Amino acid sequence: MAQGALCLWGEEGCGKSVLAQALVKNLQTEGYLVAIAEPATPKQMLTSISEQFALNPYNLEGKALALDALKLLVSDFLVKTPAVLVIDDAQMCKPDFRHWLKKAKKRGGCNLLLLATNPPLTDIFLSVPRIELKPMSEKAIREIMVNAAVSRGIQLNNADLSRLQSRTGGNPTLAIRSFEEEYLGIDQEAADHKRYFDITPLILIAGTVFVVIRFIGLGTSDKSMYILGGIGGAVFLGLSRLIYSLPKEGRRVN
Amino acid sequence: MLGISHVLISGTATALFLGTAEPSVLLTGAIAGLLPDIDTSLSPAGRMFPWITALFESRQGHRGVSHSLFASSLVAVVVYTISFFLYWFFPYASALVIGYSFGWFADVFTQGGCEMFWPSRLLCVCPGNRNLRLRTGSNNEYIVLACLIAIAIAIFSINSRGGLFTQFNRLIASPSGVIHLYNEEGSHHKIFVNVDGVRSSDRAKVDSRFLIVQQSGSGFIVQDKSNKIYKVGAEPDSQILTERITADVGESAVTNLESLTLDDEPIGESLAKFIRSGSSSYVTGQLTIEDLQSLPPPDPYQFHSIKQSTTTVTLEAAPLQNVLSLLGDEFGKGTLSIKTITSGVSS
Repeated sequence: MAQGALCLWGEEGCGKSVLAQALVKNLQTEGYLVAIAEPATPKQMLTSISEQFALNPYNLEGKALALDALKLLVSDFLVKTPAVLVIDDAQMCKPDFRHWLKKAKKRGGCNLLLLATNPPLTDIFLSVPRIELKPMSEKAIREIMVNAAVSRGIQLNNADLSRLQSRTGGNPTLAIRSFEEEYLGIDQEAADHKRYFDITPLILIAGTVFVVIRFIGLGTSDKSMYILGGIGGAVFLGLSRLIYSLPKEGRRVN
Repeated sequence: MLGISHVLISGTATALFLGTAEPSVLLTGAIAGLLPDIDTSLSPAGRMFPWITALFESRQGHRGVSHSLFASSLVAVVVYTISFFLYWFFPYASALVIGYSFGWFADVFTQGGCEMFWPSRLLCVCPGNRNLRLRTGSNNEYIVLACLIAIAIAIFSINSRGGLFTQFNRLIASPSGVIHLYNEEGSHHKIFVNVDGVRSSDRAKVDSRFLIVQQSGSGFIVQDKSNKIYKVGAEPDSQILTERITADVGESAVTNLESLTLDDEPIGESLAKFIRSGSSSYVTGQLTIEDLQSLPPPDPYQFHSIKQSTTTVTLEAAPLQNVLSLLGDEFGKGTLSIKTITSGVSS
């Protein structure tokens, strides 16, 4: 990451913030200058960054610097000093701030780590290399769940853990949430992770088998095969219209 | 999904795909539907094989590898390898594969889904909206269960009466359905047709049951209870024009075809050996008979199974008794084929 920028992206709750905090702690232990910022107004973010870099965000009169002056202060510092800037939930930052990040990166010397959930393919996200934070392995998720159980003084057997694990989808936040739901006695079956894949189109494609049967019946003069194939095809066609007219799942809890 | 739902779905799918009503095969398929849930100790399969379940539970979540196409392929390889050595096991192997596959596939319609394309960790579901998917033990699942019971009973009933195509052929009453059943069962059973139509000569209504003697063009040569021969079908030379025709499988019977060559030999004596108890014989072929006297005029309502032209007699599915009574005393030259349907014998 030296003299460069990187974007770590993944689904919500996949552990980006935890990773960022661990990284900051590690870099600080090794003696690096690190600042971490979370989405706020550009001025608030730049003030926070300048404070973490021990820069003075006030002028000689003791007044807070204007936004442009803050931008210049921090970008000048990043050019001169080998420091690392970590932005969590970067997709939620204002376009103005993201544009400044892009310009700071262009000036060089800016070590930038962006953490984002499904970032847009624009400005800074387009110009920095991206790495996807994949869902965690079953083993790692099981370890998180076991630790969560131990920290709450609860004993769960493998059957319970296995049942809860099927709701996590490799997402550590959901792993802990599913455990807490169990702890509170909330009965859940579906989960909120993004690993679901709707196979409705695949099932409907199977309906083409009936159309094929219909043509075989036509070719072999088998009337029953022809009619059955036709009926089956028509039923699948009607079914497909019905399924596609079903309401889509909303993005809000309901 | 409840265990009973898995049992019903897998049993029904086995009956539908194998077209069988054999209880042991259906039971195998139905029980196989419980096997994918071997990855949880809360299931019947998990309780039966605790050591395998413990292995799954310690490593992964529920509805993982055991609910996948990979697992189905693995089951198919194992059971079909066994059936390669034990031929009688083949229908059970098919039932196991179908039952197992539909056992986990049913979970696609539940809120949790299953890892159908394992090792991909995607959870396959249908439909996409979780609120429309089934929740284990919910009222909706019981409604689906009731529908499944009705479907299972219907399929079992259809299969026990000859299968889906046979029943559908009966429903649409088309000649192609009769041909299908005749081709399938005709070699070891008597096939009867229920004809609903009109006589071509006077358009009198016909609603009777006949025994199929043989196929002729797109129609059939049939025999009624009084041993009269007709051609039924839609062709112009048919004595009975069909509007609806359905077929039934009758008692066990074996059909044999033998040939006989006559070289100016007595016809009655040569054909006498084909008179056998419990069997009906029909003669087809051409004979040249010197000094042949005119045969009595044929019944205009029946199929002309014996046709005369000067010294030549052409036979087509002519009942043996009729041939003997009309031509038994003559001397003939030619080749005949004798079709014998013997009742009460299974091939």
